[in-house]
Order: sequence, then structure tokens, then C-alpha cells
Amino acid sequence: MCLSNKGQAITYDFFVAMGIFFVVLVIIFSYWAYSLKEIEETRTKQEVFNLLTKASEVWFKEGYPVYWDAESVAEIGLMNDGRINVTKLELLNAIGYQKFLSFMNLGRYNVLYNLTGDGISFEFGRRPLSATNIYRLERIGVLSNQAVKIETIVWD
Amino acid sequence: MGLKSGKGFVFSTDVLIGLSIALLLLSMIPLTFEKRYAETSLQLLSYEANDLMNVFTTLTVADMSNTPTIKNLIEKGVIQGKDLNKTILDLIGSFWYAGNESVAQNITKEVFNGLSNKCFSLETENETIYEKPCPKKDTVAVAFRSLSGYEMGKPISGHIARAWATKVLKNTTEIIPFYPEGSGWTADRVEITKKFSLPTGITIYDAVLYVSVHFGTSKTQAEFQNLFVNGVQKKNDVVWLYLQEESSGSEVTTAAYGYINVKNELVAGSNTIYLAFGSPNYNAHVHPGMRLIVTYSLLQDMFTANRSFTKRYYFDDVVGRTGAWSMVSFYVPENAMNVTAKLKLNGKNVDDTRVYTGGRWRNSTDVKVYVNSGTAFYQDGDNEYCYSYSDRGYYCNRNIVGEMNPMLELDITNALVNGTNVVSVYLNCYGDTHWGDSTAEIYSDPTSDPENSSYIEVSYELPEPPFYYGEIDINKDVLFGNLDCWRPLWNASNPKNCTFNISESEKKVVESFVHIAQGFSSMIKAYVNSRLTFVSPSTRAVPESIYVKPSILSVGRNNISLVDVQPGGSISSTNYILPWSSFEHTYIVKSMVDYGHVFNTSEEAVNDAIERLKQQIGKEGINATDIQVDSKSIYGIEWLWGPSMFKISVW
Repeated sequence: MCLSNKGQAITYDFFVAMGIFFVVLVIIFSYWAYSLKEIEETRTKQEVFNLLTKASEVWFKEGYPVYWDAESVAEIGLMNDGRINVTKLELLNAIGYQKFLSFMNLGRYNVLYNLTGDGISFEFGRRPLSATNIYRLERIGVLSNQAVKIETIVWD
Repeated sequence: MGLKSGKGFVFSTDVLIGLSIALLLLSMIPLTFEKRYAETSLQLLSYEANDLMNVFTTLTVADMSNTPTIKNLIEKGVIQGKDLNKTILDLIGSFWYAGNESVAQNITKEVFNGLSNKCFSLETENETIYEKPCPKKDTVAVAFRSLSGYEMGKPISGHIARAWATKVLKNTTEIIPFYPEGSGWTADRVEITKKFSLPTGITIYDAVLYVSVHFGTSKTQAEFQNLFVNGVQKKNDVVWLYLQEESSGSEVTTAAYGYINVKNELVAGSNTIYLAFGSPNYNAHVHPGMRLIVTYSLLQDMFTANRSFTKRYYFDDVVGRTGAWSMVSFYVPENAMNVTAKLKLNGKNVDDTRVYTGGRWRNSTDVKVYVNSGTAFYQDGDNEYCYSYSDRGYYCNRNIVGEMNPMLELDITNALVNGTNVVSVYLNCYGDTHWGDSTAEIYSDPTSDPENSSYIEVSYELPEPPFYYGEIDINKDVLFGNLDCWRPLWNASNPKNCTFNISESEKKVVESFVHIAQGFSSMIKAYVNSRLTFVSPSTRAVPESIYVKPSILSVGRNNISLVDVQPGGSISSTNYILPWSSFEHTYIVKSMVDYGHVFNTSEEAVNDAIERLKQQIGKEGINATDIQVDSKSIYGIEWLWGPSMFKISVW
């Protein structure tokens, strides 16, 4: 091999290598930033999803006491004996949205429930009229003598 | 490498490695997100699958009574009022396991389709009850539920009962054999006395004595002298079915087979049959196939059979003029353990003979015993010499030095075989030669003097009792003529091939035998279901019955083949198997019924259990005289099917 007497830092090779290095560095930093954003978004989504499922679970547990009323309620659950208790649905309105929300511990999020079945329609909560993000989960429960769809919407 | 060469610089090794690492890092970032999104999607599907399972196990038939299939089933009365509280999954399971698969599919489809737009399937035990037709995906969520179901149209609360008989009246068949036995050569008459006991308290429905003898000089000179049944002379009532006259030089004799109905003469308890006949120029004896077949009803308490058995096979009392012999057959069942056997022989009036040979007196053989062999198991003398023969050349002259009453007790355990055993006893006779002077007797009186009688006593243990409490043993005997035998049905032939059927209700066979009926005989080979079951250990050793291992029998068609052969192995040309041979088997019938349907009252449940018991044992001719029942009230007992695993898949 025949080596030149010139310093290597100013060779053509050097500039090419530097160029590649910076290009790659820029790409990596771009992806890194994107990834951080995505991870944060995913974490947020997961948290909201957990809140969403937590909010929907209210239809599938009995609460405490099992047959609570507006005065005695310590934990809200709308089900008894595998079915949604119609009396408890009526009690939701008696409790009111803000008190319900404090039981649910949903943080900055609001909630809206839509229950629909054959000839049945029930809504409770706050509608997302000026929402930034809306998250929705649909589940199936039993109310009286029929299966009903329960839509849970969490929004901020 | 010279960089001044002008070749492409971007392909240098450093650059390539750097680019590879950078791309690898970049490619890993999106993968992380894809996985997380998939997890969330699976969670959503999982909620849906579990919600659906809850709906199927919460909604009742009444809740879904407006769906087309359920509505139709209610209108038709298939689903009754008491079924309305059952869950939808119970209903689907009931129809599915009852074989109404299309009904189960329709109900599933109708209930599900109004609930979700997702793809879905309901499965149980690797069978798909219903699957919504849509393409498969990689992400599938499942929900499981283990469940037992209820029978359609039956209440889930009420009363159930079971019943079992503690005492029954059953019809059964008992076979009382006359062993091949008789006198010595050029016999005056032989006298055979059989004493036996039938159970007390029985009602005898039928009793047929089959007579199989070798007698007389010809068909017309039979010398059938006496046949007393409990003192009643019946010799003239014998219906002779088969007479075969054979001659060899001056010897003319007849083999005869007949029957006589002795129902009116037999009694419960002790009975005696006395038989006397002669054969002046041959050997008077009983041939295989002589037996008494008694059918009676018996009141029986329930009990568990023993595992340990000691059985005595008594000889008949045989008084022969010029010798007496008898060949007793018995069996050692398959799986028998700790088997022992002894022979007790009480001989009377046996000539004690000797000969002078080689310059000294030698004790000659007058008593011989054979056990499953052509070689003597026991003999009292050390030789069988004769000075000379007279009386048509067959009479053996010896010195008679006295008369003896040999009383032998022999342990024959080591000579036993599993299955059929044959023990032959000869007093003053052997084969076609005799040397007796007057009478000789094999003494036996089982009913009045059992301990001094001649007998074989066999002891053994079985791994488990032949039947348990709640089981009844039934004995049946069918003549070959009534089986499906190779033609001609009711004719004598050699060989004799028959097939017979064992029904499902008779499948638990605990004992089975082939009873051989023959005129003249030599050696017998018996095959059952093509397996060699018995072969005579020596010539003239044809037993009264052959034990057939129950394990070789099967439900459905079975076959028996009997063939009489000469010592050289050829099939005998004049020795026939008679159609009055028979197949006997003992099988077990259950005398209890388990809990049945649910009834509104205890009385209804008990009556149902009793009726079921009567029908079950009545088919076998058994009447339950004492019945015990056990009834109890129930609620919510799940039955008919299950537990089964149900799986809902959503994708």
C-alpha cells in the first residue's frame, strides 16, 4: 500500500465519513424523538384504556354494600346476581354525576355511559361536546331479561 | 487498497458496518409499538369473549323465549315449563349432547347474532357447536366455562330413588352328571346308584334324565334291567332316541341314548336314582352324556360369593360284577390360585391277587388311579401279570389271596391342570381285561354317609368373587340340537360344529361347560372359538363335561367344535357326537337399579325405581320378592351430561 504524506483529517474520505455520520445521527435522533412521543402516547392510551375498563367494570360488579343506596354507597357496582339491577340504574341519577365521578376516581377524565337494548335506552354521564380525546369501549351485559350493549366513553 | 485508485468509496468496510448498525437500530423502534397495540386489541377481544360467556350462562330460556327456535320448541312442548329457568348454555349443551346438533346450532346463532358484530365460535370438547362464517385472524380471545347440564323435560328438583332386591325368586338349571362308569369285562349287570340333593324350598318345573349306556348284546336284547327314581320304576318310560349296534366277531353290543321325564319323581332335598343293566359279552357302562337336567325356581337371598372354594365331586356308587370303574371330571377355573385337590377312594370287595413268577410271589395290581394321564398315578401292585386267559380269551387267571376294602387318600394336586381334569379309578379291571371274581364296588353315599364316600375334593381361591351383593347368577343349558350346528341338526355326527349366541345381557359369564353326549367314544378334542379347550389325556378318557374359560367367550357369535379321534389322531368313523350334547353357562344379572329420573313426589320416584328393577330382572325370569329402596330429595342436581368445557372464541 502506498500512503500519502497528507494529514488524514482533510482528506476526501474524512468528509464523506463525517457526512454519513451526521446523516445517520440526524435520522437516529429523529426516530428517537418520534419514539418518545409514541411511547408517551401509548402509555397515555394504556392509562386511559385502564380507566376505560375500570369505568366499564361498574356494570359488572355489585359494589358495596351489595344492595347500596344513595346514602350507604361506598363502592358503586350496578350488577346483582349476574344482571344489571334496574333500581341501581335509577339510583345513579340520585347520586349525581359529580359524586359518581369521585367514586370512580377517573382523574381529569369525564365519562358517559350509553346502554341500549331491545326497547331500552339509558344514558348517564357527561357528553363529550368539547373533547380533546375520546376513548370508547363497548361491552355486553344482561339487563332484566335481555342482553344489552353498554357503551362506555371516557374523554378529556 | 489504494484510495487513489478512483473506485467507489462508499463501499469501504467501515461505512458498510456503520450503515448496517444504524439501519438495525432504526428497524427495531416500530416493532415495539406494534406489539403494544396488539396487546390492547387482545384485551378488548377478551372482554368481549368473557361478556358473551356471561350472557350465555346468565340468560335463561324464559329470557330468550322469543327467539324463533326456542319459541318453536316451547310451542311443540319439547321445552316445558320447568325448563324455562335453565340457562341458554345449558339448553345448547342439552340439545348438543342429546344429538340434536342443528337445534343447538340454531339457538347459538340466534342468541349471538343480535349481540355482536365480531367473529365468534362456540365449542365444546373439541367439537364446534357454531361458528360465524368469517375469515380467521391471528388474534383470537377465548373464554372458558365448565358446565354440566340438565335433561330436557325433567325437573331439577324433586325426588329420586334407587332399588335393589334383597331376595329373589329365580328360575335356574342344575345339571347332575352321571360320570362314565361301569363294570369289568363280560359283565353281568352293573349297578349304579346316584344320591344327590336338590336345594330345599324349590319348585321343580322340569326334570329330564338323559340316559347314555352301553348295554346288551343287540338292540333287541338290551338288558336294561332297572331304573328307579326315588323308588319308582321308570325303565319302561325311557324314550330311546339313538341306538347304535356294533359287532366285532362274536361281540355284539349296543350304544343307546334316550331320555325320561322324572319331574314327578324328584323332590327337593335328597334323591336317589338307581340304574342296573348288563352286557353279557362286553362291558356294561355309562357313556358320556348321561345326566339329569333339572329346572326349578329357587328363593335366593342376596349375598356376595366367596373367593375361597372347596368343592367335592362325589363318585357315583358303582357295583360291578367282575370289576368296577368310574371316571370323574371336575374343573379348576381360570385365574384360580392356591389350588389343591385330593382323592378319597373307598373300594369294597376288591379281589386281592398275586402271581408266582421269577421264583417268588408278587403282588399284582388290582387298584389303579389315573389323573389327567395315560400313566397310572397310583397302583397297589407291582405287576399286571396273568397266568393265562380264559373266557373268550380275556379272562386273566391269578391267585386270589383275599378280598380287600382299599381306602385311599391321595393328594393329586401336582397332577392338576387348569380347566378340565379327569380322574379314573379302576377296581379289578383294566382296559379290555378283567380278573375279578365277583363284585367290586366304588362306594359312595353323599347324602347319608358323605365322609366315607369316594370323592375328589378341590380347593382354590379366586382373585375376586364370581358375583357380588346385588348380582344374581343364572344358569342356562342349551342342547346342541337347539343351537346352530352344522347339518344335520338333530343327527349324530363326527365332528360336530355348532355356533351359539351370547347376548348383551349375558355378557358377564362366570362359568361355562360343554356337556358331551356320545354313543361309542375314543378320545375327544374340543375347540371353542377355534381354541383347543380340551383333549383326552388317554383313550377312553372322555369326560362328562368340559370346562370352557369364560374369557374366550364373547358377546355375539361363538362356536364349538367337538371331534372324536383315535389314539393315532384319525377321526373316528363310528364314534359320533350326539345332538343331545349341550352348552351350559352361568352369567350374572344385576339385581339393583341406580337413581333414575326426578319426580315430584317420593312415592313416584320409589314406584319408578321398583318398576325399573322388576323390568330389569324380569327379562331374565327373576321375580324380586323383597325389595329395598332408597329415595332422597334433590335440588339443582346437574346431570345427563358433563362436566364439559365450553369455549367461546372471538376474533
